[in-house]
Amino acid sequence: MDALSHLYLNTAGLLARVDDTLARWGAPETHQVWQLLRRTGALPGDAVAGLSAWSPQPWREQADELRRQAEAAEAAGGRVGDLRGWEGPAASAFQHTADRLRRDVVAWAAELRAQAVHLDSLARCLAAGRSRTARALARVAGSAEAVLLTGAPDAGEAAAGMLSIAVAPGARLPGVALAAATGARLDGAGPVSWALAAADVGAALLHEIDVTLTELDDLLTEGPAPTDEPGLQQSPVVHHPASTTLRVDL
Amino acid sequence: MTDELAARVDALADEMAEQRTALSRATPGQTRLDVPGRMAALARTADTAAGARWSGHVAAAGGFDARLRDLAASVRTAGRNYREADEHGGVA
Repeated sequence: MDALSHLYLNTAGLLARVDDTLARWGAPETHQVWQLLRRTGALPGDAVAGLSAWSPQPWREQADELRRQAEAAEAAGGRVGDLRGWEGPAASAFQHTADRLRRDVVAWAAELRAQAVHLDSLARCLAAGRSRTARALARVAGSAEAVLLTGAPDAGEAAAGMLSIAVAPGARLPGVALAAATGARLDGAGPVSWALAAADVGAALLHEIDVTLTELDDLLTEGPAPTDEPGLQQSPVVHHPASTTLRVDL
Repeated sequence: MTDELAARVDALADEMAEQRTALSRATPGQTRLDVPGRMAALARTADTAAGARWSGHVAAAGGFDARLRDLAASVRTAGRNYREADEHGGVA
């Protein structure tokens, strides 16, 4: 269980309160949370829950399997290259077919390795995003906004999963200016301050998730790096019966 | 000579068949994310891309297996023809 999984379990109540508050009271019209909601297509609590459930481990395991297969393919390609025929025209045809097979197997091994590297990149990106989101979650769980949301109506239900926190009176999340801009006070309980608090908490979380999703999107669009090995790139693996190319000319 | 060569090619085909089986057994499953929006869409995209590439690798291993089997069969045919030619003292 990594930091995000652990923190998610301990902040489920806060996240539910953030989602409920945004759904019930909305957010100031110009708040950045709107753009982030549009970009991610999910409420902060749902998005954190989704990211918490999205493990990079399957990608790592797939990459390990592909590397094992690449190693086996490289060894097989080497043995194909060691095959030597006999003297005569039929032997020459055999050698030509064997050489082509060796090139194709080696090229395939390179593709396996390239995909393994790509899966490693995806796993690293997702793991880094989970770490960043965990840090953001830890920050918001200890923020004045979290305290304010705890005190909002129906707090009894939602507070069950909250972290126990202590913050200075009037403290705000770093970088959050909207509460001050609108004249709302975090220590003044009411729909406006609840909405602002939920929007600030939501924006802090969705920002990290949006960055992660954008990086993953870029990696997926990019795909595995093309391989330089000749063979599969130029001649896709197609099964040509060797009997048509290996003429037995006696 | 040709019999031994055909046996070596068959052994390589067996290795490719084993790779095909191993890859097929390790085919990636679907990511299950109970979340709306872009994250679920990305997970689906990743699953689709990985699944397609994985299927390609399974097919590639199967293709190499088949090509090696054909090569082994051709080598055996060549050996048989050489022997027949030797037995009959000339081109059949």
